[in-house]
Amino acid sequence: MARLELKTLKQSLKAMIVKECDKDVEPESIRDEELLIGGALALDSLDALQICLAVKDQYGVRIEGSVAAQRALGSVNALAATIMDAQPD
Amino acid sequence: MSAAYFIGASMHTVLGRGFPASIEAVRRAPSSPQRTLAEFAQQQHSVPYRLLSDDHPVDVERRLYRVLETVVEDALQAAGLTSVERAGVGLFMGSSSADISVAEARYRRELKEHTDAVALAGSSSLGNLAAWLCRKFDFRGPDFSFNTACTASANALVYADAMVRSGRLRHALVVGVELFNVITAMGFHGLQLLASGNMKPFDRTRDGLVLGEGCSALVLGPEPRGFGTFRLRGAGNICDTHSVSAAHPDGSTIAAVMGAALQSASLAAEQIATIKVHGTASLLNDEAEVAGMKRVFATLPPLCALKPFIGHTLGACGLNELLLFCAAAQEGFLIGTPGICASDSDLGVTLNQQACPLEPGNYMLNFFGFGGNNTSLIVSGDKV
Amino acid sequence: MTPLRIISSGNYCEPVTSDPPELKALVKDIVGTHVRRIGRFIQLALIGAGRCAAGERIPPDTAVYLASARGDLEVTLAVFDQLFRESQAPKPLSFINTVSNAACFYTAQQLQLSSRSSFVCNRYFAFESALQLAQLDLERGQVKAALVGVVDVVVPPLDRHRAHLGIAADVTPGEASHWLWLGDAGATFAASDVILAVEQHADYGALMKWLGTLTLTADTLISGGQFLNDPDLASIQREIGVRECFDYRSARAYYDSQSSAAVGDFLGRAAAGSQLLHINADPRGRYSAFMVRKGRGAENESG
Repeated sequence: MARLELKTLKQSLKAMIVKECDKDVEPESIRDEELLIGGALALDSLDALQICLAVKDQYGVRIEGSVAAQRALGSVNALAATIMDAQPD
Repeated sequence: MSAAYFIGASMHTVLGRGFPASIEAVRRAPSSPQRTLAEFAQQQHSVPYRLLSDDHPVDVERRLYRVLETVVEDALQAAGLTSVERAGVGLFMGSSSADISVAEARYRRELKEHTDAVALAGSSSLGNLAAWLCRKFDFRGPDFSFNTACTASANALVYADAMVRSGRLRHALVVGVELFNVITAMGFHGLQLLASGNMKPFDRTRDGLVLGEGCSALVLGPEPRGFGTFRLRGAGNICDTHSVSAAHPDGSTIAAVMGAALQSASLAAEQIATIKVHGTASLLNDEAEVAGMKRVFATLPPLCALKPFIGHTLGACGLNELLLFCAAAQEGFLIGTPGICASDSDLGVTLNQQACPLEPGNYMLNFFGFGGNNTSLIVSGDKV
Repeated sequence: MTPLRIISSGNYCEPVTSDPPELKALVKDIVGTHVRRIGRFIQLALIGAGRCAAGERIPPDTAVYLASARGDLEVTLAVFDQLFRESQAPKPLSFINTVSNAACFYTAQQLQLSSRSSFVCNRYFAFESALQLAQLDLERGQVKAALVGVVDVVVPPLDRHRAHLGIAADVTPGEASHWLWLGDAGATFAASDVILAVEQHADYGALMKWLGTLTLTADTLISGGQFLNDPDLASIQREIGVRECFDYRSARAYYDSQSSAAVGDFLGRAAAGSQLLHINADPRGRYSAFMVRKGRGAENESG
């Protein structure tokens, strides 16, 4: 069950990234472990802010400060983990 | 080709109204910044914002006009323009938010009265503020409203100067204005660009900017009068297409705009006595700015930062900082910022720490804005 | 003034009667790539400027002068409503685009330009203002070439948009992006399409005095800008003795900077060697005028 939720979350996050950053790619084409900022997706610090804001609005998880953002936006895996970790048990 | 001298000016910032109060304030260390509440719908948020002295953000629908009218009238009087000369004035306005503060206040009031209120119903043209000034003072020359983010009033000065020098206008009025508004406050908050304490440009502990209110006005004319013999000697403007929100980190585009300014002023880098830096105290833009200066200057002249005193006045910062700098230069001193970037900056530069003597000469003033709009001004002047 | 050569023009102009059309595909088609994080205002800028370049590489030392009466009204209104109706702070990408010169940024970036850029506003003389700045820079040798453009966007609902523009319910608003690529006329003066003059005047008397200094050939046409009233146009026409009017407005949807359309329309329809004198006014009785001449073409150039 938990695995399925994680998978759904990652799919939603990919769709969110594509929408928020206005990327002309299919959400599924983003790999789970792919570097989000400064990688092949060519997202920058403005995209990072935009994603963090969307995460806050949709999941209620605050990602504050450049160190936290860098870690959370390392990949879809990292972003999903950040959100899962912040959920109350 | 005639000249275009700075013949009358006036300003109103957190430091006070007029030059004596402003000069007095910049002889001392910068004060701690205030925080102001940005209120919207059911929320409020505290942001660092240096507000105008003696005129607080109440009666917001009229405040902008009151502030502008006073500053412009003071500048026209300082320049000693006759009514005939006034009629021929061309207006060059630079602002980021123009009359957004008024539009916000009106919209909020109308939303309380009825839910189908329309934003910007009374004023959706970015030229309305300039049009208002032209009507108020009966200027009949052309009016231009520059909307190039943080370089707006610097660019306004560049074209005002060109119009006077070309003989198309005898007198030009440059106006920079930026007053508190919620969109700006929350926009900068959202970009995570606001500082926890005061702005510390180039300092190892820099962590962002403090917003500031400011309004200033400068009259240009073909003969020196009043405000010393200051004039714009040259300027560069180059669109940096690296990023919409940041200069190229290697400093190449900033070096290019400073180079263009030097070339337009027919000066070598060694002839620049001091640089007024842009210095927004953001991690990356300060890095790019220092990298750019180091590319152009083999040995850096003394560096002076003004935003720690008045905050970042955005579209108005070009004129606010130019006038503050020139007013101090006319008094014979270079402004210092004690304790800010005093030594061991990670960027390998220091800012001028204490007010120190400044000889007449050529000064570079740099301004960089969102949308890659970068402007470098070179001002020359003697004391009268 | 030194005449400016019109190297090319690029235009987009569409009436809007319901929701304005998607522009994404058109932008991609014209600039060759998907440009992300931009709204209609910037998309329109790219369409007009891209058509002006028409696949040619514009030299990198070309400056961009963009004018508009209202700037990016779409993003500004969106930010207002999000903030004060929905209690939502501006998103970073929306806030950045409220800076009007973001449109200059994307234009310069997509066309790979690295010269000056300027965004200037004027309610009545948007195009004329940008043209004056470009002319000043070209004349002073500050820039070698210029892209001068205007952009007007329609933000639905149309009733609200009409209210913003101050137009009646039966007037069709339009979206437009008109651009000119300008350079120094130099040796190609006779062959080229040129802007012969652009001037602003304090009042009617100053305008008439200036018009008296112009050489108005027999094949000079006159156009009134959208803010010049008909009696004024008729009286000017009578006084300077120009017989024919050039109409570029009667079939056109309404937007703020229609003046800019006169240039492209005239060059498309006029006979070689003919001139257009265009005069616009503002409610305070200031006038802004420009004059365009259709070139004779390279093959007809003599000596």
